[in-house]
Amino acid sequence: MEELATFEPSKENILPLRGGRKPSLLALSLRDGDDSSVHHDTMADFEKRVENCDEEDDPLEPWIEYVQWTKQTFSDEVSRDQKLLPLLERAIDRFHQVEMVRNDVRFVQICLDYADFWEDPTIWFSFLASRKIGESIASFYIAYAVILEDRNCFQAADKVFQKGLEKMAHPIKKLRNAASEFEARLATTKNSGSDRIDVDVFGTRRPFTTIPKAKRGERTS
Amino acid sequence: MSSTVQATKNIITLRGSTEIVTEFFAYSINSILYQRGIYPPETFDRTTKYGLSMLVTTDDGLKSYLGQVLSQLSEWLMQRSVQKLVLVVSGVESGEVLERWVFDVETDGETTDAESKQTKPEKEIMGEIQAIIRQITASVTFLPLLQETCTFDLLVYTNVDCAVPGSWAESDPKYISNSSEVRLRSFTTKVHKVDAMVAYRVDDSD
Amino acid sequence: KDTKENGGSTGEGDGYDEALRKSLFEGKEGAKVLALQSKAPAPPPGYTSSSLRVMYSQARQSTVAKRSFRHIAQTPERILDAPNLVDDFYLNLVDWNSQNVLAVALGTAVYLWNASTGDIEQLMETSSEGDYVTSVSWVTDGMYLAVGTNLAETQVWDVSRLKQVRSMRGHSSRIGCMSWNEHILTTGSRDSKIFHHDVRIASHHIATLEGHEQEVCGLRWSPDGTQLASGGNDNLLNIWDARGTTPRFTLDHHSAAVKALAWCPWQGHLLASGGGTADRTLKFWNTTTGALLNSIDTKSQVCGIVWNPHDKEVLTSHGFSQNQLSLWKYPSLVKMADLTGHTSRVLHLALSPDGTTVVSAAGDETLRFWKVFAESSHRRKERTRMPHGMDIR
Repeated sequence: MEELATFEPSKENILPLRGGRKPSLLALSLRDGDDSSVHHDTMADFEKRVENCDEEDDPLEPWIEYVQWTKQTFSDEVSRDQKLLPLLERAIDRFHQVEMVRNDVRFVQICLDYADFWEDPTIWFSFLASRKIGESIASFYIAYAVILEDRNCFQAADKVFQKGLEKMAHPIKKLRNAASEFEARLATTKNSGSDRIDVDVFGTRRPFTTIPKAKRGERTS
Repeated sequence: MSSTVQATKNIITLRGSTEIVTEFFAYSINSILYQRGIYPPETFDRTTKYGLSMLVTTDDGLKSYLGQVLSQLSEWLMQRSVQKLVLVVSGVESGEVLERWVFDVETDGETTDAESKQTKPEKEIMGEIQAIIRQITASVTFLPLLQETCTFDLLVYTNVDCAVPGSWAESDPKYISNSSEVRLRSFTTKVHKVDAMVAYRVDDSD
Repeated sequence: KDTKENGGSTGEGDGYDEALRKSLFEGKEGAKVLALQSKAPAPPPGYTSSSLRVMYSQARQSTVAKRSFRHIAQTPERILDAPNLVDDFYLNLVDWNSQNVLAVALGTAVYLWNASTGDIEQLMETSSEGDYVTSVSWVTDGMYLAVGTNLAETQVWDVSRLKQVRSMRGHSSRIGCMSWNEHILTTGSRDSKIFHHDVRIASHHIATLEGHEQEVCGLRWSPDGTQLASGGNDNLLNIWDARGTTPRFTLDHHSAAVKALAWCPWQGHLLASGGGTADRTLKFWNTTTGALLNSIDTKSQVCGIVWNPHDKEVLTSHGFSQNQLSLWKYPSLVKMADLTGHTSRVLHLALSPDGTTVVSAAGDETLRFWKVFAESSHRRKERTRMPHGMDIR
């Protein structure tokens, strides 16, 4: 079992992850830094697997494992940008038109992770909605609604919950809980009237559009 | 709480040690509830303890609940029947167990209330407790965000022969499947030794 | 009754020892698991900790007050490449002196960038395997630069001659922060100790201050030299009198490491301090009385603080998730502006000698110069790569 005492001296260098951090990988990452050479072999293995993913019964699986490992291993923001972002983009490019994965909770999670890189994630969510990606997945609606609520777009958030409930997104219990917590919060805030910003919540699919890419601040390296 | 250690010789009796341990539980439970955002931050007040700024609940219902658990725990500690205290965090709606803070308690077999050969400077014990409380705070940097409204329960593991008052009942231990675990520091009064750890589930899919 | 913690099987590769865990965390034979039948009160309906959510929330949103303030330039005047700048919260790698020379530690080397002429010089490079620079600090008149290293050496360099004039040892771990008070150089280390060195005399080590239990990462003498503020990874802020070896005040309100420290230039004994990830607050102290004057949740790790010498304002720099600089009105603490552009946390701040420009250094390996403390004439957006000499590998 890992000791907290090994992380504590570097606690300010740990980038929080919404899903939490695996202790063993955290210990490794704090010890070796994000020195890619240490992880070179692991990455090469993953690269080989994702390249040949069509040969696997479940082509998505190697991508999922690669993404999860990358999330846990590269803890600072620069390597997150350099390692995780392009990997998510590759996975999305590879799978977004594959009918079968649109409502695969693992692929939807990749799309939700990608939303974190957006200055304005509503653009990305609206794109996903227009492609019916995550249409029957509860976590899609919950993540989307959280973003909207953070921006004080309460009506839009409500619309998102309603759509998810109507689609009976899975697991429905989780969505219902999140929706009722949202309602409870709404009842206690003084908010009234319409949203400050108008969000095209469910997007419209237009011909010849390209997949939007997250824009982050300019980099020098 | 009153001074728990006889200042002259720093002899630690079972009663003195029980007071120290119970007080430690009170503050660490409050710290966990505050740091993990189980209750709104505005329902906590700042106080200084162990040379640290600590947050303690001002909610009467919560105070009364903690008071009941801790006074019974204290009695069981005096009877040397406590094996561990577990704070379980679970989702209100989902009922899912999300975090488990486990405090193992070992009791020195020879110390009685009347007689003790154990000595340890109070300052040293406080220093050890301080380190644990600091680690509880630091743990928010690697624990997952609790995304739904959560509640908590306190489980006390006792010896089988322990008398159980009517207000208490046996409980499911509320384990977490596939948990990750991190050990915190321990402290000892030489009569009681407390080891701490936190178990949680890393959520890759959420 | 089965009391095994059998649900706790760890994820793959956790490399953890089943036997050890059993001995530590498994209940003894035959334990009862008991709970009070009446339960703890439920949190308010719909309550989920939004204060914690902000810590993990990566989406950017602006919370700047919609009020008109003086014009604040939102873009940096200049961006310089800073290859190999170590991305570590606990270090202090940038300082600007009264001669308008900026010292920047990039990995194993220290560079001097003359802001008036644009000239660049490499001052020094560490020589031992595994060593690198962990802190830099200018003496007040700007003639000498102190350099702290990972292998616990404190060096003093005569900048005009590019020559090392002292090497001082004694700490057992890296020197992450330093501050001068005339001829006294004070150093803070990962060994949790603070040393006063009198750089004029052979036996330089004149005092040891023991008031921290973990790494000391923030250290600042007050402008009048009467008080020293120190912050550590033990979440403590200590205020020391110039001659004291026990803290005059130990301030324990932060709940994370205290690195960012700044004394107010226009009001004596007013100190600003900032807390790390679990804390995220900016606090103001009266160091005569030890009183907390004000505190505000900045919503992200505070890495640096600089006071505006001309006006009642304070500038802070932050980590995850916006990596911004924030300008605050003092004492109302109304946020006047967020300056964004860095793509990783903004680890260090330093103020130009004329008090108009702040340089920020971030984990994205850039230095950005913000003309925030003067009425800006015209905004220049310039992007300059440091010339050849700046690339150390």
